[in-house]
Amino acid sequence: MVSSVILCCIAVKLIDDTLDKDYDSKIEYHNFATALGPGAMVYAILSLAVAASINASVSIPLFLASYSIGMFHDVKQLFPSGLSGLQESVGTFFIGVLLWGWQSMLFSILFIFSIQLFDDYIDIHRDQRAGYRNFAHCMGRVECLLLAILTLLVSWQINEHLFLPVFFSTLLFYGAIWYYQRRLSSCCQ
Amino acid sequence: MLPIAIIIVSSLLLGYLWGKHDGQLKGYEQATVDFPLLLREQSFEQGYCVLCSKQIEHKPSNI
Repeated sequence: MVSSVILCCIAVKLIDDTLDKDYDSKIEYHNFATALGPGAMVYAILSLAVAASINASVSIPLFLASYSIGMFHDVKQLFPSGLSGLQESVGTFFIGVLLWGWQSMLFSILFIFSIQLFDDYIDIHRDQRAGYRNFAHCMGRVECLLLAILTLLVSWQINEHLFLPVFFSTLLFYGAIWYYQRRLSSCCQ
Repeated sequence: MLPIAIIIVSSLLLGYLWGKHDGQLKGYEQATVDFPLLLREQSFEQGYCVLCSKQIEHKPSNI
């Protein structure tokens, strides 16, 4: 399960870096998509395929939840599908519910939302310099941190046996990436 | 244990939001009362009246 979660995290990170290429280059923050070039998206797909082969019932709901939360940032923007960010976000969530059930999707969405809030709390100054308003800006730093802890606890309550392996795998991946990116980024030295 | 932790964090969050909102309202009311007085005080100290823009011959400190 640990390897499946880490591979899913790699896929999400590579896709996120591909989408945030311009924004990261503006503040000279290390971006894996820039380093890997066009291959980043291929590696992301490969990583997700391997993650799904190892444990589909954990990695796919986590990936769908990441997509749903990612879209939630641009609720009004229209995407190539013709749908707005909000519609894509809600649509992805319900597809996940239909395929993987309520419990799995609710756990994943709350867990990923919590990680997003922690990330926004930590990156508040970096996002501010890039002119991007994240959740910590919109709702306030303390509210962001408390809501992150609350959603993490609720996700734990929803699926107790899945929470700890997923949490420690994500923590391991996030810690490694955070350390690596800080070391390589000129903006944070 | 987990439900208790959820209740504690929810209470902290709600309390913080309530306190912040209440503080903002009180701060706004206080500023509405204090701000004109502060402006007048500062303008008198600089030697003019903020209401009629006239120079003041005798500054409050000289009285």
